[in-house]
Amino acid sequence: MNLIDVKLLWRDWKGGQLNLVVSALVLAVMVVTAVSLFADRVERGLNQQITSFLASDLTVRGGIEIGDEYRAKAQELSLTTADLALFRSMVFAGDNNHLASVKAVSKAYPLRGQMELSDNLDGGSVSKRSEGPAQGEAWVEARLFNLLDIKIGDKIEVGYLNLTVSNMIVNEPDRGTGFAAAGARVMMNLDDLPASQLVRPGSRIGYRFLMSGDDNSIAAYKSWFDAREEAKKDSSEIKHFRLVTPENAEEQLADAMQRGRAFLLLSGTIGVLLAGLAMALASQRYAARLTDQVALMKAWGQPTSSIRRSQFLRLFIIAAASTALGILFGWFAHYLLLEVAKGVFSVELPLPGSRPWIVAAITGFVCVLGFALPALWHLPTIAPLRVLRRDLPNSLMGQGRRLAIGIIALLLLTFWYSESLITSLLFLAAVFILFAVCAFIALQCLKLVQRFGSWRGSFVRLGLANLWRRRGQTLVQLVGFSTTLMLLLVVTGLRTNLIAEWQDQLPADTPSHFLYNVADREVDGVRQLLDEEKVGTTDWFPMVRGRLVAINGEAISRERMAQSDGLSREVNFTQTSRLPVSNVIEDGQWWTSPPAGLEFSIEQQVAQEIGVGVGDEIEFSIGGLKFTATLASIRSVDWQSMNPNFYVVFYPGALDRYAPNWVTAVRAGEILELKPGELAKQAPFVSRMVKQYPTAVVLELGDVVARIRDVINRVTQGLELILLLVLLCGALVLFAAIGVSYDERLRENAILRTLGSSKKIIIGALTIEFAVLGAIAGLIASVGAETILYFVQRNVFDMQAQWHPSLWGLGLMSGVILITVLGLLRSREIITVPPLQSLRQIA
Amino acid sequence: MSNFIIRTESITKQVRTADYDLTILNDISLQVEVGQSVAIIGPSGAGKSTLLGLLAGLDTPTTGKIWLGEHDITATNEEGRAAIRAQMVGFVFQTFQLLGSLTALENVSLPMELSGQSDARSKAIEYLDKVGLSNRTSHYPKQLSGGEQQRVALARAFACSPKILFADEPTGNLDQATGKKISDLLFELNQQSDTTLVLVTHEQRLAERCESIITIDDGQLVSHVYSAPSVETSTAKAESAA
Repeated sequence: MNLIDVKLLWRDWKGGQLNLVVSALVLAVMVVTAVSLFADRVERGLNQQITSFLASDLTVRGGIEIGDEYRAKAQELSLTTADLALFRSMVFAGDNNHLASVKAVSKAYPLRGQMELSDNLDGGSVSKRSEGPAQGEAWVEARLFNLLDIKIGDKIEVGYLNLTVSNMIVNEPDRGTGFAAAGARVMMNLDDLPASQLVRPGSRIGYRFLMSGDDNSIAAYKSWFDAREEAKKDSSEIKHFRLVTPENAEEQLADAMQRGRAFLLLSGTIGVLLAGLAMALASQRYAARLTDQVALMKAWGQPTSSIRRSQFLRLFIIAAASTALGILFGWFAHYLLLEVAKGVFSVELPLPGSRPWIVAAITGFVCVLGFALPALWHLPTIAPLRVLRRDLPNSLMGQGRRLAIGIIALLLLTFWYSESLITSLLFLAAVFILFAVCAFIALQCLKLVQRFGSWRGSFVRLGLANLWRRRGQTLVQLVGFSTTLMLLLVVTGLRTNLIAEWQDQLPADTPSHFLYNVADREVDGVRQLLDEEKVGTTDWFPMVRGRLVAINGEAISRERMAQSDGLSREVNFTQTSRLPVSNVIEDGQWWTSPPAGLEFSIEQQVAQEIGVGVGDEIEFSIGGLKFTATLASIRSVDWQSMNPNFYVVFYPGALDRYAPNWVTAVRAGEILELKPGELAKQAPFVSRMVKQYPTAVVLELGDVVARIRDVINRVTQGLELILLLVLLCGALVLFAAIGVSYDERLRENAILRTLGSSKKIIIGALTIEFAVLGAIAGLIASVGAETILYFVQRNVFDMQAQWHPSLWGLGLMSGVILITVLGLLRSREIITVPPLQSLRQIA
Repeated sequence: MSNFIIRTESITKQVRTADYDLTILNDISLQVEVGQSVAIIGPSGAGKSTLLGLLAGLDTPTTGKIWLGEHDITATNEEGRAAIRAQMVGFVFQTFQLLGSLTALENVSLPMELSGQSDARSKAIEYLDKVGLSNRTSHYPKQLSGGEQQRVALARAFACSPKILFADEPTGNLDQATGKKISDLLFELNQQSDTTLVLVTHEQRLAERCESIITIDDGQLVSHVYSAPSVETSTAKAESAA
């Protein structure tokens, strides 16, 4: 490394020629670092959370005892293992009893996550343990203490077994969050299970074989299991066991996470794109400044090769230093993002892996290669004769080629961020179409403005004429700014307007609570309780879980099953003679009189997915019992209505023998504008319900709405932060674009002032120029944001679209203020430096 | 070994325009002795600066040969010429060509730093002192007057101790009084350092201070006159007529 190159670079930096190139690069790396660090940590956090949801890395589940070969393979791979069995059983304490959800676990349970226990009923002094209860002991959930009227140290009966309650369960890792987790938990030692005599032929028991270990062994077990299943596929052997991994356990979450990460990085890419644009413009100006220096060096006898080497070295130093700085700032910025997102994640987020750092570093270097180098590439080839003949053309790389290199660089980065060529191509195409549309609208606005300006006086005309004359740069500034502002407005609009509007549009009789898991024999009592509490109910629906097994006598294949959510899992069936609220018959007839045979109605989308029509015969399986029914009608369902809705509805009678649970929606108190937890205070029936009907579940919808709003708030705030950084990149584009015409402006204004124009006129003209630029950018941003919000309202939220005048005001105002202030700031030298000095400076 | 530091043999320079080849210099042969000062004069567009560029090895002739010292610079490529320039040549320009982002001191020391001289800084200070700018070392070009800028350029040129100094209209951008001071300084430094000086100028008075004057017109060498013994050695026109 030659010290003189470093010296020259330092002098360029001191001379202020590198400010913009470096700031743009630092900002680009900062955005990408912040976003990828954040995404990486959240992803790792969620994975960890999911693993502890499972209490293992891998679980084999089955309705019968786990086969020996599964255990042998785990042992062979040196995996740590634990066993558990899940079933529902009555537990007794004196005269009190409760249908509890019993979990018998081996000593090693849980393998991932920890049990949180307390030895007093207040739930204070929580201790964490990575083992299950000892033999003869039971750990029970808080509500069971009330239900059975027991305290720590008391005995409970589980089957023929007496167990001493030694701890209260505050939390267990694999408790699950679904509706199925209904009964109060009793946890006991697996070795006590035989003595309880609860396990008999025909008992419904879920067995789980938990495993944990290093990544390689886990992967090996997975592939062994898959291969085994694949081999079984063609045989008629029944599948008894299912392998549950963190990925398939929370597939949707993982999917959302993957999409979320790609989305965050792609929004960061807009920042990189704008920073790249700013870098390219700033590098062009830097190159112009370096031209004389390079020509002189060549005249002094520096060979082309050493100048090229020096150029690479300088760019390397710029890239390395800026990247390091960008990563440092990005590290701080990601803490801001985490701060905003705090509360969304219940786990402490683990430290990031190596990928975010690599992503950030490569982004820095690719930006330099893609945006800065092409503008500087020609420098070493400058003819030394230029020292005598300044009019010699310099062999600047053509704009088309520079654009192509820039696009390739962006494509590489987006491809790497999204790990999908299609996504990155689509994304870039969308961005460029957006740019093109913005540029087109901007050009029309400029034409209008120019026509308007031609008959205005003095500085207004001057300012507007400037906009038109430098329309190339004006367009670059407009496109950069308006797209960023547009995205910011969309996100702000989502946060501030959409949720409120969605709530406003909910009908006044929207239910406040769901009651479910109400047993057949409890329905009358619950109805009476609700009457006493003056809580209005909607219809009561019996609910039975089952699955579809055959269509017109043909068993449903695994492939077909995978196509539909309604086929791949057990779903809730109901029976009613009245068409549920907010359901509309799309095909066939709703029953007006009892049908001759078994008939049912199905939801439209599921019908499409599984390819069934009115008149088809479908075989159902409920608890292993099978029966066939005819499809009588197809319904569309408004899932947003917040009423109990079902995929499959039978005519009354079909489900009578399956001991259904009941579900209904009730309205008790306002659900709008509530913070989480507030509703419970307003609905006194809830505490009576819980006490009298402990197995029934009350779900507070207000809480759900408030929680959704909270999550959306945090997510959009996080996005706003990223977009603010992107907006900073937009500001750099503005700075760089002004820089391109800087010398020209300096000379023109010096001449104007020499000819007697007052400072006021020049400031006025500049202010008009930037304010109009800002207004156009704000206008485009508002139009774009309103359009995007229109589609989001119509298609995502299924609600009536509304105007957002506040967004238009915000867009226009922020456009005008931001661009005017930034523009004048960048041009202050043009205004303040005496004309003679300006002329000498550019001579 | 000859005593000529610059020799040309029938050099011509043509440039291709859209329609035809334009001859800028035609069949020019000349010699310059070591330590001599030579002025190239002629009307605008005569080809003076082109000739200077060729002699300095910044460009190549279409035909003919040029030697700087022992080196045939027409027989080598740009990299080879660069090496010869680094070894022998210095420049002073009409527009000073100072780098705006560097201070006076940094401007002077830069070529020495590029050639790897370890005493670049002290030598730069010494030469800035010689041109009377020891109190302006940390000033940037835009903070200096035209005359001061050209003095920095002179310090930069002589500090490298070039064997030949090419000066293109060194006083062209300066008023008469300042121009006079600069040319005094130029000749004084030239004498001190025993450098061969080749300068292009419009100014008769500046040309007359040189030991010989080459006049070119319309791309032709009109005369090469030694002012001290006042002997006309060649007349290109006469030769070409013959």
